[in-house]
Amino acid sequence: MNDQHILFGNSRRKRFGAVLAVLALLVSACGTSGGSDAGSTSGTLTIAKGGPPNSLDPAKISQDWQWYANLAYDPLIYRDPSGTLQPRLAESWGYVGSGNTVFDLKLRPNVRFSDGSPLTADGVKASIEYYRKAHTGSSPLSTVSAIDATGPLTVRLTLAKPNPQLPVVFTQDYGAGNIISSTALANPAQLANATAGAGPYQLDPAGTVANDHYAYVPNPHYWNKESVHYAKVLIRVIPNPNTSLAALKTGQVDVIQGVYSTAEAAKSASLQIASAPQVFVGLALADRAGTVVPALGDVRVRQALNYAIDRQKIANALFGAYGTPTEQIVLPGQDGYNEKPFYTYDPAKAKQLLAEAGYPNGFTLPVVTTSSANIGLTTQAMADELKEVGVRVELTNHPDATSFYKDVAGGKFAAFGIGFGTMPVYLMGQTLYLPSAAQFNPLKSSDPALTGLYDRAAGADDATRAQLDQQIVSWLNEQGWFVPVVFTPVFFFSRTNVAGVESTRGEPIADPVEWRPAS
Amino acid sequence: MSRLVLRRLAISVSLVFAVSLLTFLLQSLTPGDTARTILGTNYTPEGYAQLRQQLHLDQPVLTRYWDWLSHAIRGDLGTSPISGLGVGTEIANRLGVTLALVLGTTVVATLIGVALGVLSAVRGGVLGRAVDVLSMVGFALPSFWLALVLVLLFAVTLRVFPATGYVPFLHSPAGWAQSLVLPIAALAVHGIAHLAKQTRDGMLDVLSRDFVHTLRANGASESSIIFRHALRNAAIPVVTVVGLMLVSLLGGTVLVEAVFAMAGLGGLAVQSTTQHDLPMIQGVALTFTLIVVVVNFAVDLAYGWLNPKVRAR
Repeated sequence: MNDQHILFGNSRRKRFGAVLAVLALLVSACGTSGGSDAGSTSGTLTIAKGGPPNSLDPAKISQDWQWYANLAYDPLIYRDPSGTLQPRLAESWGYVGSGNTVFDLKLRPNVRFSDGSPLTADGVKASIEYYRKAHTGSSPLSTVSAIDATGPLTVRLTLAKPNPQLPVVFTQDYGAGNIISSTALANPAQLANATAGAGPYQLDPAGTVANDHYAYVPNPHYWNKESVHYAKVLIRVIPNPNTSLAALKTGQVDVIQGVYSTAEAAKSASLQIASAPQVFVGLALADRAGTVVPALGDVRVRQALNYAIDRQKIANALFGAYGTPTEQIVLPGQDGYNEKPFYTYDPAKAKQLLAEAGYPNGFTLPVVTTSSANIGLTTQAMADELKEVGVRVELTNHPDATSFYKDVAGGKFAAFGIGFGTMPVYLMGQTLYLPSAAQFNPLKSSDPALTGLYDRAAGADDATRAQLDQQIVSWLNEQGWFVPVVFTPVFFFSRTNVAGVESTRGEPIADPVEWRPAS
Repeated sequence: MSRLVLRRLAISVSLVFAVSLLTFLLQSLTPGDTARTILGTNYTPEGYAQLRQQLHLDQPVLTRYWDWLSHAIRGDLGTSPISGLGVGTEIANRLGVTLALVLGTTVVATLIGVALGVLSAVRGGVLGRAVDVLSMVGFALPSFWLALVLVLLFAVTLRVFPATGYVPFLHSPAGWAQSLVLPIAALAVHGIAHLAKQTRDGMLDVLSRDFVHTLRANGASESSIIFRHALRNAAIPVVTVVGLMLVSLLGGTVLVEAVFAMAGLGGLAVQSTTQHDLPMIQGVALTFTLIVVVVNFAVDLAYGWLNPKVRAR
């Protein structure tokens, strides 16, 4: 009995000891919380992003996730934070002759990819051809008829139809210019989860857990080692904006892509805020022929809808000082912007136009919208304004973008909520307003006047094209194809230990390649 | 007992099969598909049709299910058409997070909940009423809200625990424990409240029975009466609650995973469902079903251990 008691006592003491050990572990763990700051002091840049990349393949990666590719792939041409195009893998470039149908690139010598293979004209040709084949959306290179390596480091693109924006297409923002190693192109499937670029970093598979965090280490063959600022770059996937802000405040991460709802909290925490207007949000009046809702076939009705919106009020109410009210699909200072006002808020004028068009009591307008990207909020606010002039908006809201875009493409709705990022007027044509814009022009609206302007602008020199771009935007506005309301901002919050996090109208998307330790 | 085990095994196999079929059919009925997710917002109808064909989405649902099942039976859960990652690898990467959260929460909630319940039943008075009040408060607090408050207090303001992230045990045991404290605290409150109330009510019921008076009359010690007799008798409904809590935590961790940016199976289930990533959804559903089967099995065995009448059936 005694022995049993002793054994029992020992066992109790052991259990008590184990509990103490666990408590000690927790206490010691609590004492090491300062380690969360290690990211910013050990040569590591830690970034938070709201989601994982759909693919790391430059030909397939969505623009939302371009950070994941840009760290590892240098583009042919680099758009710097001011929006100016700078040499990168291409030392120089330009159109040959007039008409924008022949484009030459001269490549930088002595460049190697992260796998050690050299950059050659044949390799660039193969990479661009792969992009054209693998890219699933409407391609900005669709008019290219031939790509030729005209020398060891010179490439010529010949186009069946003019394209004046090839330099922009070959920047980091579009993917086509992010050149992939020819060695890796032998097995393109591996590009989804690995990198093979000539950028400053390369993906470190050992330090990466897909969908959670992605580690990048310097590319040992990088041609410009001075612009490699960190021994490691870590992108952590943090979907919740409040969580990513908490991680930033506590030093777990150094830079995050923020949202408007957390901007004030970031400001009060003395974090650095970079912001620029990026996406115009409003309505696309898709049924310009009036096949679904006959009223929309009358230009006066589309103009009335534009007059009925108090853009300043909506921008202030939804986005405060960060909202930029707009009547146009481009920002001041960008290609195509018109200085003259088109639709100063005037509900009386809206009612008058509706009456002239035969709708004195208004009409019912079914609109499909989505909660994502602030589109739902804006369309809801617009519905309230339109009600004041007698237009009854029937909103169908999809919480997820996939269902929304399915309805948009289906063409059942006469109008849909739209959020569209800034880009040159020529490139907008292929995705927004030409009949070939599969997603955002579902009813294939077309007009010879618009197409004529577009075709002339495509082949024109820069000065003439600037005028024609203005005429295109003016035409779209006067015809009321869209009801733009507000340019919504993009945000980047950073700690003071990081410099170079910029967002401007010329290049709204801050690029991690630019970021460096603050001196 | 062996009959119980065999019966349970037979039911479990049928359950796994039924859940996998149901998940496949339900997912096929939801609007949208994998091809649209891959193509994003900017695609041509021809490109869409071609990709659907490549992904075999143009084939009948049952054909596709059979294709998945015939591979799954051989241990091949396939590859995500969205990310290109192996389903088995992705689940293995995330299983540790979910198990740490679910098992950690269950252990913490059981220890604290049962202790509080026993204490309040034995001491009664103010403590008993306090447990009642705490239970109600615990039931009412949403775990994701509590998680946000805990982050604000203990991570952002006091800086004693990390705001986000999960550290694998093998990477750093101390970091692992540290990264789990706040999420488990947020998840465990509800379970503690439930178990404290359940244990208190069960203990009060057992302690009022005649055999307890007989034990006291025979000179049995109070600790023996409480722990060897009363708690064991009150434990069966408590074990049921623990089992149910563990199962509900599998789905319930998703919001807390999001608040703490932990890549667990809950987040994977939501992500793959919104992306229409069928192989991944099937893999996650299969994993959850297997865990539920194992938990139910363990609960049944615990019943048998606690109650000899069950063993005899």
